[in-house]
Amino acid sequence: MKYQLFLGCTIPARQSNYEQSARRVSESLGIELSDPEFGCCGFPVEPVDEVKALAMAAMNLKKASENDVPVVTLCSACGEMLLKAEKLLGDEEMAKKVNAVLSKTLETTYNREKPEVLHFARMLHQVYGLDKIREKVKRPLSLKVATHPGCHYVRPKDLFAGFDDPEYPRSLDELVEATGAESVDYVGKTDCCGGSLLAVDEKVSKAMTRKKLDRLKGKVDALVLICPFCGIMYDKYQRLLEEETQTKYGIPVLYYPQLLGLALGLDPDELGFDVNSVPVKELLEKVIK
Amino acid sequence: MTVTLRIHAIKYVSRVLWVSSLYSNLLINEIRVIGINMAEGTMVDLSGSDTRFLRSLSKELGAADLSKCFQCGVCTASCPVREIEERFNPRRIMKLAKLGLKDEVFKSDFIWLCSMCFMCHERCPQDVKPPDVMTVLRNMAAKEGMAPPNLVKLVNVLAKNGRVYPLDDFTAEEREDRDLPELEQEPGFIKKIAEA
Repeated sequence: MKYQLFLGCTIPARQSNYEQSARRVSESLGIELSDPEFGCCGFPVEPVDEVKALAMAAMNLKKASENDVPVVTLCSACGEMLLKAEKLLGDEEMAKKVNAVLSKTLETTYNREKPEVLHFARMLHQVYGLDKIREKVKRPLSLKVATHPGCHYVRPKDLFAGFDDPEYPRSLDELVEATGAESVDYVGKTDCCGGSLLAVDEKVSKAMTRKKLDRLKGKVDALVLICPFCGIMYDKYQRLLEEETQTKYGIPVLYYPQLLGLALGLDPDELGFDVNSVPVKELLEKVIK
Repeated sequence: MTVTLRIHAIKYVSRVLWVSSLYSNLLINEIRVIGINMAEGTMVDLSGSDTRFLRSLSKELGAADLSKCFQCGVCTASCPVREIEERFNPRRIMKLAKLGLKDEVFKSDFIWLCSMCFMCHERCPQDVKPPDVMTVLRNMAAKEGMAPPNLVKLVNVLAKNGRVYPLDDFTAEEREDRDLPELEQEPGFIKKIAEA
């Protein structure tokens, strides 16, 4: 199995634990990842200039289709942006506007290149398969875990060809259960982390993050997620919220590949746990007895 | 007898006409709707309706289904931002935009408060796609220099570095320690598009 890895901006610079664990897990599962020279997916530019954002996405799609290998993204927003671009650039007017930018800046045009784009978790669930993951588990986890599927992983649903449910997504829970861990149900599972508002209104953004943490406090061993911005909010901002509100949450936040890596028997040192903000010592002691 | 009436909502026009039909000597000279009631009970002045704004809105792909909005409020009821911040009300924004009340839409920061979670998009019975409308409105506001400085800064950062978070030497070293591959430090094509 071969995939082109689309990292985006946030992960390589700020959430290397996600990248490191995804790469080690891929090696362990026999999934080969290549690294073409992709750039920003365009998502951060969309609120200010959608045409520029789509031009960025279109260039990435063009680069991706130079190889006959599908793309996996670790960031849910990157994945959604690339798929959205494939759809919106099917509109003639929009394609014209985007191509005007591309021909002016890079002397090229987008010609409906449509590589397959999957989120890493979707690839594991839909292509690699839960059965194969179960077979590879060497260290079944007896943990109680809450999942945070995030928004752009399954919404808007018309971009994801029937994969999972936009209101009651289950794929991440099933991936968690494949490691032996229990995925608990809770109110507000599909709520937004608030990360996209950080640059606009930090107060609102943090209040959204806090809501989920308040609900999960003392109830789970970890919160498992699959998007770097959700990670920054629930992990890094959990520490800030603890200081600000004098509340001890102490909910370790793991990227799914970190959890899977533990189950596959990988050394925690290879899974980037030193980057995690909320202490994971107790959790790791529980896993590796 | 001739009268001129000023009323507060379009919905009263038919009532006025019905009443007038009962009195043969009452000739309604002119009916002017000066304001409109919003679903949450406030009233908005209609005199600011901007036809040029409406025309440019109608040309945008993202606002193609805005006219279908019948103000059911599912968007606001589904909104995780609304739960936290009363100021944010997607139903109100849809109505203001539909009425062409550009200044009303742009004057406060509320179009920037959508977190793009797409929950309203999934639930809208009219397939209005409120997040897409929000992007159209934001882009229009940005063109008039009304985007939050932090969002404008992001585009400038991309023009300068090709990445939202630069891959400096320190990060590059850290990546090497983690056995992560070397990456293009400043993707040139992103810089060029961002600069344009």
